[in-house]
Amino acid sequence: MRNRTRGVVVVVAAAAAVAGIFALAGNSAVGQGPAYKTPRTPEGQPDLNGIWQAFNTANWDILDHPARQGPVLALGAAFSVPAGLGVVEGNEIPYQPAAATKKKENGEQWLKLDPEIKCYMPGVPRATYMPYPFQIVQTPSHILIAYEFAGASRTIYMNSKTQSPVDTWMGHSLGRWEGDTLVVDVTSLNDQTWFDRAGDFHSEALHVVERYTRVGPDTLRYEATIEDPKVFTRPWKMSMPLYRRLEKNAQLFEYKCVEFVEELMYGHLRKQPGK
Amino acid sequence: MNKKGYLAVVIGVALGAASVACLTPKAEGQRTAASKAKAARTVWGDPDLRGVWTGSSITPLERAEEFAGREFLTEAETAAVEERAARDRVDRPPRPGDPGTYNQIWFDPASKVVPTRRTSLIVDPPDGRLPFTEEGRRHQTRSSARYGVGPRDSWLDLDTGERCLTDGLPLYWTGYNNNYQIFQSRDYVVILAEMFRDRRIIPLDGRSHGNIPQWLGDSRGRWEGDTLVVETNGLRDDTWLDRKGSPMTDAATLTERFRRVNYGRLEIDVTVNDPKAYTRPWTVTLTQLIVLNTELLDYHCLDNEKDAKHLVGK
Repeated sequence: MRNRTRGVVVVVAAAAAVAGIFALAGNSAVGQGPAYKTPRTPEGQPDLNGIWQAFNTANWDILDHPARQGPVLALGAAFSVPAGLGVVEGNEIPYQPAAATKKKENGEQWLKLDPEIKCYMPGVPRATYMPYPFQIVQTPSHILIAYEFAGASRTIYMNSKTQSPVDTWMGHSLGRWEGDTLVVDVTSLNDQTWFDRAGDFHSEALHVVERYTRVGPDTLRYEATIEDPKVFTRPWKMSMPLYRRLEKNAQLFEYKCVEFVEELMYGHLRKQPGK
Repeated sequence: MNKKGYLAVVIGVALGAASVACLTPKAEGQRTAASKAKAARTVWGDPDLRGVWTGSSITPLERAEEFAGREFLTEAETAAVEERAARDRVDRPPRPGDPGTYNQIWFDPASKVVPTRRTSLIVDPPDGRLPFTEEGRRHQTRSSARYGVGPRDSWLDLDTGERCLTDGLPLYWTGYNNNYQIFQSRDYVVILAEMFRDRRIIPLDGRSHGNIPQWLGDSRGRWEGDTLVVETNGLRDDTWLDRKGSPMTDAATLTERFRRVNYGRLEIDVTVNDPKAYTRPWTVTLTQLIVLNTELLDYHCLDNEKDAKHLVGK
């Protein structure tokens, strides 16, 4: 009896271990059947190189949202807002009360306040799900993420403890591999960027932990845990798939949007004829 | 306001946004050691160009009149030229009505001529001067006369650098934020400059050129032995290649040849063929030095723009 009990314990423990392994494997292979085996770069790291893009409406609103009229009457159906599923776990952003009010005001003054409209740097994580591709170029010590929007770039310093001397728009990114997942700790972000066009915002206390996992030949899973004790009551999480751009000769183009906002920002400074 | 004052304001557009001064290299000694070490290779066998580099020098693009007919400086001339440059880097009070400039500490001009002591970065044509076409010269004279002075009825009358867009190609000389980083994988070389965070993503996979015009053109790279050869076309028609307003047109093609001669030194020959602006192709040789113990900083010009109201419409 005694021995038998021990046997049961062993079996249960083994089953738990197997279940654990499956759970881990399942985590990195969402909806892909058997766990995907991530290929390696010539230098031996999990290979995330490529041109990727989110295909969702999170840049409009990271929460669930219905379709609605766009802000420019003349653009009618061409630039109205499509409905979309949110990317936030539980579909709730845990704002502190004052922050909830500010988010609402931001949303109401979107055209005036959204940094995207002025071609400012998109920040993290918003850069990931803007409707433009981005490219990952890997080396063992530095991983470059080149975003098409506004020509923003981020360098992820691998296995480094360096600190940024100042807060910046795109933050300071320290990366490490956890199995085949690239985990990026992003700090030193400034308080100027938003999460979406709905006015979701953060302070300079923002800390983002991103996880990039390749779950298929042409798919990445992206997760970001958001922490900002000045704005939110607890950490929260967003996740989404990212897809490879498969066009032959796909490439990132310049979207140096400065020239598209000069009239908006400096139009009033133009010398007026006759004045 | 004198020209220099305006120039200072203009540069300020960009500087105001710079996070902090660059993380400077620790010691020239390290660089000297680096220049003795062999250049590395990637695990797949190509020369490894990765690293943070700078091409900063006080050697001008075009040969100065005083050195006409002379390809190289003597040692004594080198010392005199470097001393003169150091003397010019002194803070002086602005003239009345002039908003003044930054303290020199904000600038990062080089203090030395190129190691070869060439009198110009241009190595061909032999006179070290840009071989302007008539139209190219007209463009340069007009741009140069207006730069820093105006009139600027709109932002379109500013240089693309003043507009926080780009300093265009080739982007290896500037007044500050001179560092750039080369990333390299088997299929791509990426050149990321601190200045404007300008970025060139260069495929090495043999694909053909596209036909979409861009500020920094459309570059394709290939290895010829240990030399990375990058061909670029598809430039926009309205860029300057220096602050004197020397034009670069949409007819331009560039051929760059990168050779890492040792761990610490990268030689780049750039040949510009732009028949709309220049009567013949011309070539510059750019010596790039590794910058150790540093990383690029974020630098965003538009996001902290303070000077448009002092320039546009004036």
